[in-house]
Amino acid sequence: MSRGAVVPPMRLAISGIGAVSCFGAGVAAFGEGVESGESGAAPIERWSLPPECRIRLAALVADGSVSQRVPAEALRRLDRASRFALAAGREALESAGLSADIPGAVGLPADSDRDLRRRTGVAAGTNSAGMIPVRDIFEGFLREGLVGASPNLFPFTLPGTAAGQVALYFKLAGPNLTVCRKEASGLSAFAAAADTLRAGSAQAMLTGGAEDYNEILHEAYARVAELSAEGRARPFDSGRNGFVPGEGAFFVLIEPLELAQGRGAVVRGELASVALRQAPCGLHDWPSDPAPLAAVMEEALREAGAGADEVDWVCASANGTRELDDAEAAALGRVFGRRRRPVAVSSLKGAIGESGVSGPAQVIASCRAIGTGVVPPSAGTAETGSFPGVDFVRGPSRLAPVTTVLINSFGSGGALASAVIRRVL
Amino acid sequence: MRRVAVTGAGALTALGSTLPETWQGLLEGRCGIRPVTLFDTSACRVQTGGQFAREPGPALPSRTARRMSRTDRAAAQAAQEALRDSGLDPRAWEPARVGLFLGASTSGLFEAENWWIEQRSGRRAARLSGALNYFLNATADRLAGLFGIEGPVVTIATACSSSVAAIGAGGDAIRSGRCDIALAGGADTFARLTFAGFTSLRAIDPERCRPFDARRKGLSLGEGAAILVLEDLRTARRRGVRVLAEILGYGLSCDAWHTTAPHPEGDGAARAMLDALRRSRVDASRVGCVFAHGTGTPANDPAETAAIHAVFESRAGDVAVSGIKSMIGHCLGAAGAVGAVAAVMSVADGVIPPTAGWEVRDPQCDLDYVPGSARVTALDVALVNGFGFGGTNASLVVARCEGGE
Repeated sequence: MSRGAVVPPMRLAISGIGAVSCFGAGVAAFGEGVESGESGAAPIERWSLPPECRIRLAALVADGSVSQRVPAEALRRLDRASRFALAAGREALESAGLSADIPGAVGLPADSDRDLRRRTGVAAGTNSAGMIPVRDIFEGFLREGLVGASPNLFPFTLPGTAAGQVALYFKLAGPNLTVCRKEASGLSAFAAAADTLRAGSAQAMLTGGAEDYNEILHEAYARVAELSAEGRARPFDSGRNGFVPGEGAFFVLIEPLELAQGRGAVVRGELASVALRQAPCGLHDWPSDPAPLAAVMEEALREAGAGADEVDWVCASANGTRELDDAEAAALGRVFGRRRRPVAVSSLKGAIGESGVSGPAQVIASCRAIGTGVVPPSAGTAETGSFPGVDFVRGPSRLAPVTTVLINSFGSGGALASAVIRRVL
Repeated sequence: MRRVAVTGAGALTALGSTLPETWQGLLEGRCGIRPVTLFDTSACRVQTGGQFAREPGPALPSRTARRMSRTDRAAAQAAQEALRDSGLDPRAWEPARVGLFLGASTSGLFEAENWWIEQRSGRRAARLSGALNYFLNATADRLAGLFGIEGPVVTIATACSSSVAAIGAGGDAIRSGRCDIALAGGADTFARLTFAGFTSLRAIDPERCRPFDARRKGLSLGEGAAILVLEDLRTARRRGVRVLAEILGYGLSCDAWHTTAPHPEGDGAARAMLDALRRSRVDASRVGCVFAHGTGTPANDPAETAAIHAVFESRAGDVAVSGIKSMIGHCLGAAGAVGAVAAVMSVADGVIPPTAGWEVRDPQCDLDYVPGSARVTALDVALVNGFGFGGTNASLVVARCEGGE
C-alpha cells in the first residue's frame, strides 16, 4: 500500500526540561535521585491509611515541594496536579531560555517572549488528574444532594485541567491537548506534540504531564492492582512483587531543531520518533504478550531511522509487575537479540514508581544521560533472568557515552508507546 | 499525501438510536430535550436534558455488555453502526493497521458514582469493577478489544472540544500512513457530576437551550455517541464503497484566557478555525456552513459569532451557521463528534439542519443561523467547532468528496 511521498520529517529538539518528583522539585533533584539507585518510596502520610491496608508506601511528592515555584494564588486555588504542572512547566520554559515569570491569571505579560509563548501549545498526559475534585464534589452530593456541587471545584474535575492551567498561567495560546492512556498517557502526549509541530500549528510545545496519586486510587489499587506489599518495585528482578505508585509532573519544551538552534537554545536531545500501539489484553491487566511490545519498539526505531545496534540505553517500562516485566524482557530479546554487544537496559520505576507521567520522566532522564553520560540503574533490582542482547543495569549508575535512547511506556489495559531520543551532534 | 475518506458513520442521541433517526430529527428541527430519568434530579435547578432516546444496546452477548459502562455501550453501538455502514469486517482487517481516536469526558463516571454511593451507604461491599470504569481511556480500550484494534488507541480529553480533536487526530493517522483504517469520534453519557456541575455554574437553561437567540439563558446537556470510519480514499475507491465525505484537516488553539469563560472576542476560536483551514489547504471562501459549538450560553454565542466574523470577514453573513444543540443538548466530549457526523451527512445529502428554537435576533449574534427549517443547498466545505473548559478550541474541516484519489 502506498504511504505517500517521502518528505524528510521536521526534526524536533528538546530545548527545556522541568520536573517535580518524589525526589523533590527540579530536574537536578530528579536526576540525582534516579542516578543514586535509591528508591524514592516512603510511607504514605498525606492521608490516613486504614490499619488493615497492606500497602503503606508510595513514591509521592512531599508536601511543600513546589511552594517556592508556584504563586501563592495558584497554590490556594488549583488542584494538586495543576500545581505540580505549573512548577515543572515553569522550569522547562526557563531552562529553554524563555522567561517564565508567572503572570497573574489574567492579562498578558509584556515581555519579548510573548509572541513565542502565544505560538506555544501544551500536550499533556494524565491518568489520575481530576479525581480529588470529583471526590470532593461527590461528598457534597452525599451531604446536600445534587445542589451541593461547588462551581469552584467543578472545572478541576476534568483531566485536561493541568494543561489548561499551564496554558493560562504562562499564556501559551497554541494547541492544547490532553491524552489519557493509563500509564502510557504521558509518552503518548509526545506523539500529539510532534504531529502538531510538524503540521506547523505551533512554534513550540510544552509536553509532558502531571499526576496526583490519591487515597481513592490507592484504595482501588490496593484491592485490585499488583502493588508491591514491601513498597519496593524491582523491575526485571526474579523476586519482584509488584509496582509502587508514583506521581509528579514532568514537562519538556519541544520545538523544531532549526528554530532552537537559530535562537541559540541548548538542545538537550532530539525527539526522533514516537510510536503508539495497543496490545490486546484485559482492561486492567498489564500486557503479557511480547509480540506487540516488540512491534511498537521496532516501529519507533524504524520511524527514527535507527538500527537496533545504535541504541545505547533502553529506558524500560518494567515496573516490578510479574507479566509486564517478563513480556518486555522477552520483547527486548527479540529486538536486540542479534546485537554483537548487548544493550544497557534499566527502568526508573524502582526509583520513582509508576504513573501516567513515567514516560515524560523517562524523556528527561534520557536527555540527562545524553548530556552527562550517566545511565541510571534499575533501583531495587538484583537478580534477573538472561535475555539475548540485553544487559540489565543494576547497582550503581553506569558511565557510558549515550547517543540514542529507546524509551518504552506501556500501560495496564494495553496502551503501548515507544520513543527514540537522540543526541544532536 | 493520502486523502481521508469517511466511509461509515453511526450515532446515538436524544433524537434516536441510529444515525438515520438522529439525522431525520435534526432536519425536522425536533427537540429531544426532556425530563432526565437516569437519576434523581429533583434537587437540581434543572431537570431536563437530551438523554438517549432509548438505552444503548449494542449487538453483543449480554455478559459482555453487562460489564461495560453505559458510555461503553453507546460507543460500541455507534461503532457497530458505522462499521456496518462502511462494509468493513473487523475480522478481516490487519489489527495493527487500525487505529481508534476517541474524545471523552465522562466514560464510566456514572458507574463510578453508583459505586461511591453504594460504598458510602455501607450496605454491602460495592464491586470495584464499576469504579474502575472511571478511567477516561476505558471506553476506547473496551472498543479496541471488541473490534480487534491494535494500532494507536488514543483518548483525547480536552473537555468539550475532545472529539473534534479526536477526529482530527484520526484523520492525521490515515493521512500520514500510520493507519489504513481509523475509527474516530466521541461518546459521553449523563453523570450526576456533570449535570450538577454545569447547573452550579448557572450555565444551564432550565427549559431548552436556544443557541444564538437573544433570549438564550444557557445550555442543555445531552448524551451522545458518534463514530466515523476513516480510511485512505484510494482504498475506499478500490473497495467501491460509497464515500460520504472527506476529512481535510483540523486546527487547535487555546484561549489562555480563563478557566471556564471563552475569550470575549473569540480570539482562540478564530485561530483554531484559521489553523484548520490552513492545514486543510482550503480557502475560507469555499466554506458554506459552520457547525457551531453554539452552546446557547450568554458568553459562548457572541464570542463564536465574533470569531466567525474574524475568519470570514466580509463573507461572514453568507456562511450558514447551524447550532444543533437545541435539539440534542450539549454532549460534552461527544459534542464535536455528533457535529461532525451532521456535517458529513450535510455535505453528502446537500441539506443543512436548522438552529431549532432560534427566533429572536441578538445584536451581538448577527449571522445566518439557518432559522426555521432545514436548508437544501449544495455544500462544498463545512467547519465543525468545539470549544472546551481550559480554553481549548478545535475546528475540523469536512468536505464533499470530489473525484480522483
